[in-house]
Amino acid sequence: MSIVSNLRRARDPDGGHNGAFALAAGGLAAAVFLVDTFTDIEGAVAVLYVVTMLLAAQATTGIGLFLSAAICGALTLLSYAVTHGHDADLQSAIRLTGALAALFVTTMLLVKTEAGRLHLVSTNSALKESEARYRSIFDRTRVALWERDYSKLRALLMDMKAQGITDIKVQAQADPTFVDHCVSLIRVVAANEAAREMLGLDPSAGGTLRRAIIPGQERFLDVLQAIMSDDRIFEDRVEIRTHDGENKLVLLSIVFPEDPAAFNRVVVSMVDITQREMALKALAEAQAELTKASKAAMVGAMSASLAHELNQPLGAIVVNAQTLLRWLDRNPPDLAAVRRSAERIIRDSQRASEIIQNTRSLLSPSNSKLEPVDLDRLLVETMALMEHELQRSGVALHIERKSEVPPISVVKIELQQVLINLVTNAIQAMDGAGSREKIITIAAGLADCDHVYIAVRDTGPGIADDVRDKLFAPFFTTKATGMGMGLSICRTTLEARGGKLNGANNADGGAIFEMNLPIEPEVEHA
Amino acid sequence: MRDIRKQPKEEPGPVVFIVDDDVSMREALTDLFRSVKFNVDAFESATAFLEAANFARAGCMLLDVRLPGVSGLDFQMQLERTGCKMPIIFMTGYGDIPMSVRAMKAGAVDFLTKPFKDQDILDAVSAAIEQDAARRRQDAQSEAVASLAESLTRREREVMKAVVRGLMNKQIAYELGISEVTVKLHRGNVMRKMDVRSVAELVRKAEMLGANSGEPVS
Repeated sequence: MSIVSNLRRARDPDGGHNGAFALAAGGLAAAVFLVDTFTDIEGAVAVLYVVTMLLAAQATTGIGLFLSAAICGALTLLSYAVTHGHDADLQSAIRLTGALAALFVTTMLLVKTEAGRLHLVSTNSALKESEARYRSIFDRTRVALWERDYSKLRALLMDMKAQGITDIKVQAQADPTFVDHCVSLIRVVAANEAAREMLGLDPSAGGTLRRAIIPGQERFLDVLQAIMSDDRIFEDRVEIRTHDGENKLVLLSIVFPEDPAAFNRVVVSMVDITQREMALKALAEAQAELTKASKAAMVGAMSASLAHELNQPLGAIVVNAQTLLRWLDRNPPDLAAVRRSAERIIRDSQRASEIIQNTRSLLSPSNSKLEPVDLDRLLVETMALMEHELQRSGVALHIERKSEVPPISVVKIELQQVLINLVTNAIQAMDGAGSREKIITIAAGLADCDHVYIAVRDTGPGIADDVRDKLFAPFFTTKATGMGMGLSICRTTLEARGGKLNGANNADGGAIFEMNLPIEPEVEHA
Repeated sequence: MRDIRKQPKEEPGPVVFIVDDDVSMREALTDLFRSVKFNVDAFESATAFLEAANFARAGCMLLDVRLPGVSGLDFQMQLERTGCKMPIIFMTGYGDIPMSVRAMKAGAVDFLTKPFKDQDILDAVSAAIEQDAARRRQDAQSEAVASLAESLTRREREVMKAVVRGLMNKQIAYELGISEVTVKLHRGNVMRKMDVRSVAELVRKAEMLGANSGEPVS
């Protein structure tokens, strides 16, 4: 009994219905058995058990079918035994075999059909589940999603292609209504919440789409071109106009199906990247500001040196002028001495003016264009600016040229800034550690056929292990008064020109910072 | 690099030594001092000065605070250790109060900020030279007194110290455990050897001696 109920449950929920079939099958089986056993009808009455099986198949599955078949077989054999127990002949034996064979074949067919049906059911439910999942993702995600029907548009474009039209842009220029026509062919099948928020409350209307593409019409033509050339994916940054008239930058991505028939449900997604783009822009601006500030800070750090530098010739001029008056006041005036004083005044004035000129060119923001620069000269000129800093700390500076270097294309002021920064760091490192022997060696040469290197080496304490990873990180500093921007800006500056900057320790002590610069930068970044 | 127009060393009188790494400043100052007929000797570095200058000569030094290799202040200390008592006037390109305080504490006579007025530097130099001359006179006197004191016997020195303290012969005799007559004898010798005629004079010379030798007089 329990088996039967189990079997029933397998076919639920329409249990009552199944019960009727089971009852009918049982009744029929009983009727066939009675007719077969107790009437004299000479024929394959037992074959009718097949009908019983067909009825049973509506009520049960698998083992139940086998069980029904077994019962039917047993009833057949029982009838045979009762009716032909004593006078079994060949004819009746053949009938028996025929009935049993029919029963067997029917059972097997039923079992096979059942298995196929079950498979179909499970596939179907998986499909339903997947569809539901897709629906829920489609509806819930914050990415704006549409299902759009592009089939008419595709048909139009394919027609055009067949006519030999390949350039959409030319077509759009020739026919001003072309874009509008194309847009009107697109039908929105579905749109999710995010999509409605982005393009308006009624995204199904063609007008919405027409308005949305206004700022990014060029990109829309690219989409058409992609369909025409059978591309699978279209992805680009596109400017769109939202329902409240605001322009937004979105990442538009469309995946076109491989099967042309599936063009009636193409998934289109848009991610708002306006904020991200604005953040990137703000970041770039902040970086530029910081670079400017650090340049000013660098000049500030050098201001003591500059003031001293300027004071020397100015002080000398004052003394010379006063001495000149003394020679003049003599009786008789010593005109030869007056002349010597005047000549010294001229010379010192020129020197003062040169110092000012150099400082100005260092600060000038306009000089950010690439120019061929002789590396040797640049090194000597830049280090002349640092002379007082070097002298004050008692640092000896050596410039070594390892190989013949062609003029390199750089923004002179930028390279100077990086050099001054690295040398200042080296001086401070050696000062701070109280190094006995203070030597800075600047070595320059060819790194390979396209690059030069400039290495600044000191005899300071080197780079501690725990700071090595953070060396170029912004706002990282080991100095009490440092802002931690120097090396970070140096690296950014060089990288913008396709160069590199790395720091390491020397085998024989001290730190070494090596720049690697392309002789001819490929692209000039803004 | 030595200045080509510096004064020959044989010329008598005090010398203004200039130590400045800046050639413009060196030349301007040299010419200024020449215009007022001072002897000048200019050097570009402390090392050059130590190697070539005759710093036993009377005079003073104009020293730039910022010097290549060694700072002006370090150089000042270095000179002091070698026993050079030449007055030093510091020059600096920018006013630096802590540095000037340190310099003045270490015995600098003046601290001038470039650019300066010629009269200021001439006044400072004149004052420094005067100070040097005074010190030299005093040193010479102390030396003379010291050489006189050399000839005193141990007992005579004891008697001198007692006299300077203001003791009477009787008290001295008691303190040293000798007769009053002997004290008078030693006292006469001290007055003669120290070349003085009055006790007041003796006290002054003894003080000089004490200041010079570092021994306490009383």
